[in-house]
Amino acid sequence: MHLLRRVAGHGMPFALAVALFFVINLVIPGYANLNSLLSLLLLASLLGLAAIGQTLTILIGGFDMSIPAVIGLANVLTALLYGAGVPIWTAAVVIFAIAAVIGFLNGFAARYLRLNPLVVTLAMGSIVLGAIWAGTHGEVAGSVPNWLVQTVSVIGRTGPIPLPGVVVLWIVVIAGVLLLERRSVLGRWIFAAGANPRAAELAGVPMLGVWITVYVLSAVLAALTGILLAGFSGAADPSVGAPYLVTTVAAVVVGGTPLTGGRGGYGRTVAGCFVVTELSTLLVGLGLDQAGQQMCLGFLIVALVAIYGREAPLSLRL
Amino acid sequence: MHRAVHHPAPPLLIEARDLRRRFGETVALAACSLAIRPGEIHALVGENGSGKSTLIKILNGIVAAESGTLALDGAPARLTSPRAAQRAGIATVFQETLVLDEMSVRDNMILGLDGLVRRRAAPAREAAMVRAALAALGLDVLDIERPVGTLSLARRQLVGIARALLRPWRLLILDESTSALDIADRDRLFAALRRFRADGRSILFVSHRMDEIETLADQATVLRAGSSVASLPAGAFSTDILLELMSSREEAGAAEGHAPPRPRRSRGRKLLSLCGFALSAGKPQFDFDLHAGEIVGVAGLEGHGQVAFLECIAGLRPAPAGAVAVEQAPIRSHRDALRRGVTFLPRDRKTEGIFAPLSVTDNVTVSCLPRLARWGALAPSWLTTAALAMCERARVRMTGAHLPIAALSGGNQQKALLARLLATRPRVLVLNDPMRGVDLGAKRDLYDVLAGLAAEGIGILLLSTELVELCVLCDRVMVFHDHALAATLDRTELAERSLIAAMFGQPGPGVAAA
Repeated sequence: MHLLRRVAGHGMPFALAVALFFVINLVIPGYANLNSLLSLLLLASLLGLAAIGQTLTILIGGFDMSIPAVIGLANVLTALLYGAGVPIWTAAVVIFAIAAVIGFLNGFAARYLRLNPLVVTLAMGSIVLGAIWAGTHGEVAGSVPNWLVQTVSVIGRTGPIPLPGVVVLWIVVIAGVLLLERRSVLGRWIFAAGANPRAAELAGVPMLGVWITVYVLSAVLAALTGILLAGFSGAADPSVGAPYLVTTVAAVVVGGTPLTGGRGGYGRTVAGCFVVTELSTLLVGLGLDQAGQQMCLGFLIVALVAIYGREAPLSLRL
Repeated sequence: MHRAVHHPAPPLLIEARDLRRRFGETVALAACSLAIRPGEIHALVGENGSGKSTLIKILNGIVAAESGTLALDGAPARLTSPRAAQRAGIATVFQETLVLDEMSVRDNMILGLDGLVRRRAAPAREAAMVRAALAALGLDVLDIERPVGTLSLARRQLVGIARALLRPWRLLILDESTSALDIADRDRLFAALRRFRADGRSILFVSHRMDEIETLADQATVLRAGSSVASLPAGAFSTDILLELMSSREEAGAAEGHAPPRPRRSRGRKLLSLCGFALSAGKPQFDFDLHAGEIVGVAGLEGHGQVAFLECIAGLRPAPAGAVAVEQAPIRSHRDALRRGVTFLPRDRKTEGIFAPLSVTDNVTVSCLPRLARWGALAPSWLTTAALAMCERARVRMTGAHLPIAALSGGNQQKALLARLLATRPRVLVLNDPMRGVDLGAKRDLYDVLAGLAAEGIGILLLSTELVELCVLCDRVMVFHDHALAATLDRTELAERSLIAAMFGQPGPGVAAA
């Protein structure tokens, strides 16, 4: 009964994802084939990895608007470092360490200094992007290892599994995040921190620790997305993360996690990632360019927040 | 009782009869009557929760009575909004009315007199009005362009009163507006009030200072548990009589009926000790020890420092003077307190206690997760087992621990919060009014649970606004008055009468020497 209700709670966005697939098939004849499905999975995986941080920060009552900048930074650094002969794993460690520092500063400023998380992370994103442009003047020469390209290619495989590496990675990470949310001390603290920060503080939840950990996780996963995107495009671009500002928030909102925190979770965001990715595909199929897609996603966020925001959550109506 | 004292002559300015008002399940006013004559200074007395503020809100049109009648000048009247009350000539000064610290005295006073766009009065006339109102209270010298935030609390109170005088009024209600005034200011205010009385205007004032009531009031109405129990003219009342009327003997019996009498035991070892403690620098310092198995009550009129006392012990605010320690280990932060086994139950369940969307299990276990976890990982069954065990100890009644805590009744939510404290294996419980807004059945359970916990050797500090509760549950009660410990009453001295006397700063048995 309990499990049933939980599945039903996630059901709506998943049903929407399936329905959209058929709609796309109507708009773009011949869409329903293995290649389209793989490419949908691939794009959803990249979004899904970037949206973990957005989900967790929203759950604790914050936001992470620095995700696009961190993606761009990781993307550029990957190409630069590998191109300069640094082994890819060493490069990854360096990138993750930098991302962790960025996440730490976000969490510290938002919780300890009580600055508005939206403003703090937007500013942090601006600083990071500015630094990339200052360092590279927008021209990045570099390269990425071939296997990284394969990892994010539709025709890629993961050992015996006929799926590109990034999809397999995402599946593993989904399991990890769901376990973190439901079966770890940190997970329970995250929900408590978002549901009632004052009560959480009085109950002895280490709020500063929770905020910093969540923001560090967010930044590190954004960096991971940036590294993978380097393989996807084969070249580095500081603004590669730009679309992820709107899409990560959209994925969280479409999934049904309220922006007020304490409710929802990553399971819902996974469904949201499929819906958002499909929607982009649909809009491309309808002939809209990047700008048009952004506008549509913007409208979608406003509409959904209006709908979800008005409906009193079940727990409060009881 | 009111009947006996009126004379046929002028009609009453205000006559309220049998006003009744509930908020949810609590009856704020049961049967409250009040008669104020023109040209009278009328005192309204009663302890916390006796219905004074509800009565004042009804007279202000902020709250409507459910039943009962209200007459102005002998004619039935309805005060449906604050504006209607203003039109009827009722001006009220609440405890803190000057809200905009950055704005000048003049702007704070004029606030609300202007229209949204149009100014009613020319600036020069406006300033003259403000000065005249201030002068009436002896504040001629005050610079009206000074920001309110730079004034002393006493000055702010006077400016707040002057603000009420700007509108035409016939009845001025002062809700504890004299608490911060020094003798000179107070005497000037009283002189002004007497002048108003001579003009035929009336004043209704709420004060917790018995001497003020004795020197100033022509008439005093006493409220107890939402009902007016007496209205006496000057000469017929004294501090003693008023205190007597405020204590409710019948209720004490009723509460004793459902709370188990606690056996007297010898004190256990010392759990918590305060040394040279004071609530603010300059107030008399005191020492205090809490022993295992002891329930110590904490009482005081609203805002007399008793809440701050609890918060200091829970490490939520630094002790202004002296030290709080558990077995020589000092408590300087909330984290310290939790580590030493001192847990705190906040007063406001909704905003500071529960996580509304989360399950009962999550709510109960949130404070003891690291202890339940292995390498940071938790199995759902560990959580459920721990939560159910604690809920049973705290007698939470529920259909399932997986339901959101918001689905429980207020009383059961409160018990679940107590279960959360117990899950931390505390040595000391610091409870800020745990029985507030809780139904009778749950109250009875909580009484039992607290007595049981004390018997197990937990030390309990219990703040309650219900004096009966303190009399029945506590081994001794600390009474705060004016941000200082006014008295510590032990079991032999515990009675509602003595508690009220101490709360009102009156000497009585057991008063600590300063």
